[in-house]
Amino acid sequence: MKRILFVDDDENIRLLYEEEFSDEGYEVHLAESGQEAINKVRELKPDAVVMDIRMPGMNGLDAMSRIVGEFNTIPIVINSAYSHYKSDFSSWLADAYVIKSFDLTELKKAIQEVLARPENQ
Amino acid sequence: MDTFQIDCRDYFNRVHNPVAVIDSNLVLRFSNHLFLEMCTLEQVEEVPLLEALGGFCVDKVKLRVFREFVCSALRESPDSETFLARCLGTHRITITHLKTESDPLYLLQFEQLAGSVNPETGELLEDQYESEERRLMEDKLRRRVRELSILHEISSVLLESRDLDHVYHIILTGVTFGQGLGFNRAFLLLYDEETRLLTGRTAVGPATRDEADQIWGNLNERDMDLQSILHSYQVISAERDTTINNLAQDISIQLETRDSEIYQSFQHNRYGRLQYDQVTASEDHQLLKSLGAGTCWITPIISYSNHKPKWRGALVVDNFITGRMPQGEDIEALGICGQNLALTMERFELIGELQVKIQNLEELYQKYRESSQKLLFAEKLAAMGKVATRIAHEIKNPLVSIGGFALKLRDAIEPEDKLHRYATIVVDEVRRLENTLYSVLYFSNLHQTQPASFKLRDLLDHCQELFHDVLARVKITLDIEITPGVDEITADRGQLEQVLINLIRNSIEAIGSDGCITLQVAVDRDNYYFSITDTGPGIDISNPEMPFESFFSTKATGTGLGLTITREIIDNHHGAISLDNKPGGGAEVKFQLPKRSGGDL
Repeated sequence: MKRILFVDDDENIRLLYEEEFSDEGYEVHLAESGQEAINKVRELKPDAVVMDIRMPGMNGLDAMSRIVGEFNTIPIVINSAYSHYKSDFSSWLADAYVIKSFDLTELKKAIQEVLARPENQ
Repeated sequence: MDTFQIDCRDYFNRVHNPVAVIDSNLVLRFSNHLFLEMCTLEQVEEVPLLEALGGFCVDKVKLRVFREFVCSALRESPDSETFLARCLGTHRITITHLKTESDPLYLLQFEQLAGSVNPETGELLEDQYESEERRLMEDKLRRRVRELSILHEISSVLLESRDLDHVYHIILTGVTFGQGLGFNRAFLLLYDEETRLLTGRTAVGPATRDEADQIWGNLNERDMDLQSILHSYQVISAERDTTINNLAQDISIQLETRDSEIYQSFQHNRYGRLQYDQVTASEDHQLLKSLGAGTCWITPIISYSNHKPKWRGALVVDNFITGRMPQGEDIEALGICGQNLALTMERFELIGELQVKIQNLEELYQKYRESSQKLLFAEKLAAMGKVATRIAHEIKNPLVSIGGFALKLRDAIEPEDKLHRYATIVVDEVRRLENTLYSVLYFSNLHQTQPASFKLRDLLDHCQELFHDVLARVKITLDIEITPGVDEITADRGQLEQVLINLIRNSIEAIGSDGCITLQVAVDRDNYYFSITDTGPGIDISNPEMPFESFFSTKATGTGLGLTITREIIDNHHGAISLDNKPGGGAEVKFQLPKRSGGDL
């Protein structure tokens, strides 16, 4: 069972992801801030991280660069309401960029894709 | 003659003052002994008067004054009985026209001034002499004032004038009118600096002697003064004889010979006198021949800008009817008319230039207004963008939860259940809201363009791939036609992709299902030309700006921002976009982008 860490500051969204991706057959872990995400990555070594960008405290891009610095094999999917972070240089570290939506089809597809890459097997 | 001589002698012996008779050539014909004594002469007849007076009047200045007086008296009114007396130092002189049957003769009476006899009244004598001088001066002044007032009248009418032809006519009328400078005819010639041609423009005056009688007679009958003639330009110009104007317009003289009188008058900005038997240059001859005159006077019209002379033309006058010799003052006034005309022509030229500049300024102002309106609009958009971003951010996350859980609810309810339908409504509405939010967020970040060079072909392929599934589902084909030469473009790739996505999506939504979208790309030296046509129902283009306005949408699920965003992006890339319907049905969107629009993005 693949272990996914979802990082989002919105409690309801975390709940939605937990419900939805558990049903999809993933082992779902949650973090509500950048700092918590770093701690959980160290602790859990997840197979993938889904990262929101705008969060209080450390934002998603900073957290991501720290994670990549420590564990450069863990794929990261950015899941943001904003498309313009695509042009932010630090977002290029991510393996996928999905515009946040209630419809989780795109996100599911992105997660499947990054997990399916040979280097992430 | 004998009888006259006897009469004279008898008279001469009786008078107690020096007397003499001269002819129109100022040659002494008779005199009495008092005159001979006065002039210390022995011989009486056939001596030029001035030579004779040389012995009497050693003062050269006084002699000159006297000569001027006699000459002007004989010239000005050769028919009057008696001329006004003038004082020549010690003597008052009275000139009387003798009515003889042969040549005109003039009687000069010298009256010794009382003061001069008594040395004690010497002062009185000086006073009287000075008063005579003053009277001469006053006469000159009076004439000058008259001429100046004419010039003033001309100038004031000129200032009001808005029509250059009117100006020409005023000047020429002033020059020819009896109360003006009184020349018989006046011609205006214009000079072209490039071709060096002096060509006739217009003229005033009679073409022939018969016409002279007729025209001057008419004017006399009407008893018009200069002022009223100048102000009744329409009347006069309507009656203006075309013969003289035809004569004027036939004049065309190439200025080549530097020592021609015409050229010299331009060169030194002075008047020139052309007399048939004296001129040598062909230009001078040509002018006289064109006018059919023996003598004419020319004054150049020259204006100066930055101390550089500009030859504009010339005023040419003659007295071919009366043969009168103009005086120095007349010529001087003519020169002033020329200067006046030069100034007026310059003024008209400046007004013309000014009008062009004003028009340019107005156009600039119009552009400024348009761009300031655009700026205002952009500022509004930016402000709206800030507010929208904030609101969107606040709404976005709850919307994900609402939509996400509604979706879960819907999937948990049997499709036959009414609740399933309700949940579907929530999901659909959230989807619509999310689209709007996305557009708003995207819109507010449009100004952050990041131009880079990339292959246009790659982007087009990417778009086709993006829409592959959707197109297959609704049975719409997307044909991409690229002409040779389409290669790299410098633009914000993400934004250009957004443009193509928006336009293709619009076409898909317009067609619904079963149809065709054609995307064509052509290229020239500077631009790429895109055209997207579809087989949909076309668009309402009664107001071609409308579809580009924010929140305008004809679709139930549209955000009304698609085309606004599209145009914003194309504007940011210094391109242009237009919407139209194809003749055969369907809509056509055309836009162009510079090959390198990244320079000042």
